[in-house]
Amino acid sequence: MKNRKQQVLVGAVSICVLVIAAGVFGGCGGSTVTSTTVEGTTSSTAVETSSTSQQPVSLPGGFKMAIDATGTRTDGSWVQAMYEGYLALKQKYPDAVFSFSDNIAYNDYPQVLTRQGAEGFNIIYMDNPWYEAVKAVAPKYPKTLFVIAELSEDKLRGLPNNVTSYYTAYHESSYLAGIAAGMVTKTNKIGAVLGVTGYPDLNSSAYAFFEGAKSVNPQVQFKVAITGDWVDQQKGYDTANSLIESGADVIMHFTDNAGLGVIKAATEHGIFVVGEARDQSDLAPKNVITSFLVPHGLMQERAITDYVNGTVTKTVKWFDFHDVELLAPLRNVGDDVKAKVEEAKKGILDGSLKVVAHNAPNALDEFLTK
Amino acid sequence: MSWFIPAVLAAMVRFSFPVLVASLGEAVSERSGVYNLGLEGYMMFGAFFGFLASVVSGSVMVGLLSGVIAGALIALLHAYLSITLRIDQIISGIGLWLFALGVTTFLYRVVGTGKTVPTTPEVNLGILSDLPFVGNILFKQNVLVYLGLALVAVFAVLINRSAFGLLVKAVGDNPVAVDLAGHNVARIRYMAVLISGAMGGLAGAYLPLAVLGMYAEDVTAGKGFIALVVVVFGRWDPIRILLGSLVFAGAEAFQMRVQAVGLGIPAPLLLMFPYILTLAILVAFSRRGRPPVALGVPYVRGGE
Repeated sequence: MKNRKQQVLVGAVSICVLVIAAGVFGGCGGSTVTSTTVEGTTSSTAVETSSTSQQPVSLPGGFKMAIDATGTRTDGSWVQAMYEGYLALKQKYPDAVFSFSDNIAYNDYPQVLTRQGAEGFNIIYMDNPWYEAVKAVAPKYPKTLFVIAELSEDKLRGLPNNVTSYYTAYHESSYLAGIAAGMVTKTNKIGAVLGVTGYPDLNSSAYAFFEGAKSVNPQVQFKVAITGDWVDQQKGYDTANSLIESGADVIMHFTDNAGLGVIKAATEHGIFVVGEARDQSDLAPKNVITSFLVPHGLMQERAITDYVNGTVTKTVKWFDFHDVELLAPLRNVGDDVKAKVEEAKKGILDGSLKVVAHNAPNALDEFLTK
Repeated sequence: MSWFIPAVLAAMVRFSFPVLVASLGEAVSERSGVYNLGLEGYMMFGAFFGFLASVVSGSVMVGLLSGVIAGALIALLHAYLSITLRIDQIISGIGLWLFALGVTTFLYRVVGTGKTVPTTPEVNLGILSDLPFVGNILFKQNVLVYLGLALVAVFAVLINRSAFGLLVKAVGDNPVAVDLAGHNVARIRYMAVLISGAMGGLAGAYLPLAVLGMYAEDVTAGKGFIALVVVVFGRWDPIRILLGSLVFAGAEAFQMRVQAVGLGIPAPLLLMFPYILTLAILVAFSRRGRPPVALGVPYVRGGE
């Protein structure tokens, strides 16, 4: 009898150890203070988005900034761009403390924010799924600045003064990518693989992508497929396959980690793909024609300068082509395509070309049924 | 639109593999009385270590074999915890799943991202592969898909026609009788769990080594849990498990291609379709199934 109990105890302890080990190894937000597990292994590509970065500002002593992400830093797109921004900041401000946590589950957001608030983090930078948690936690830590990437104006209005939002003008970069897509498609069918339906950023990006294509190629047809999943690469792969089978030969994606499967499908079928968030040509040099960029690095720096200079505003700060390059270099396309895109970019910059951001939840559906 | 049905069926066959193979192994283990809630974790181990071995050796075969071994090794841990130490199988399984998630994520970041591996080839049977309609569906799949189908036959014989299968069944229904007949209950259950681990490892290794040609975190994305459902749906029988995996994969392939056609059906409804279908079938057919009597119950010699 005693022996049995001992065995159960040994087993229970070993399971506890395993679970804790998993938490620590995985960098799960709940169990690690600063997720500094392995750095510099993720990618050697330069952070192009910070090419126009500001001068370093002098930080107050003991300055601490946290960057929190839902997905994983190895997703090749969204979170990796956040991570690359974090690495650049660490290098630029060696005396300050920067923490990067990824793979945080939705229901852990409030605990993570509460802990970071209580630990006196000056800035917490995250993306828009964190909205509800920020709403609940931000009033308790008025000294901490909460920066949400891509939070819409109306949602920001209802939040306390220590919250702000930086927004990327996806619609402008996606419009340009659409011009390239409309010119290189041979089947006159282009598609978009999106993570979810009705999401503002995804809508405005895909909408503008199709509009851009239409502006140079009135015959072009549009297809959208939703993965319903930001993680599952096989799903991304097969969703892209379904678009390819139905005739699409240029595909943009906005699916984070699952997008790795989209890119794989594109390489397998030898079609063109538009990357997400960072220059994804490192994943498929022959197939990526361009990528729309998310300047997470620049936005993180902007958070610091806004915080230090006291210039935080209660309105959404947009990052467009005036602030930073939002389109990765065009590849695998002819000079006529490059010239056309360049011309449109000039138009956007001097204001002669207006691209509207269609953020409404049903904007894309209405566009497609039109 | 002529592409639609062949495309759906070809994708159905292609994507039934991970769930099918994981379920086959799990069926044997559950028949012996042991749940593997960590099946998802076995698949993660198979996927990661299969990928890693393939990167190091440059050989897909070495990768696949390593995936199988890695799956079996983590299953061995489950067997030790749940059979020898008689820990609750559910707790041990969930613990191992989280363990696998953490270990593979950590090691992948150590190894570094962006590495690609060769994938197993598609077969080309010449004239057969070029046949209209059926060519793409039946004669132009990845070689592993045929291995998966062969495994269905192997497991059907193993479970229904072999002495080992009979013992496994007996252990799952009445371990006391098996013990009294002079067989080692623990050893039979260990073997069944190891089979489940090996199959889980193979199912996981399929993703980087046959589909993606690379690894990505959380590459299994819940397929191990779907496999657990398919085992119940298939009533622990390989042929029915094959049907179950095809239904699920087919529903998934179908909804994606309906989206691609663009009929204006809301995407959330389509995305739900495979799961609703699986649930509906489960409700409709599960009453007739009878799980092994001693499923989930640790065996203690002489009772306690």
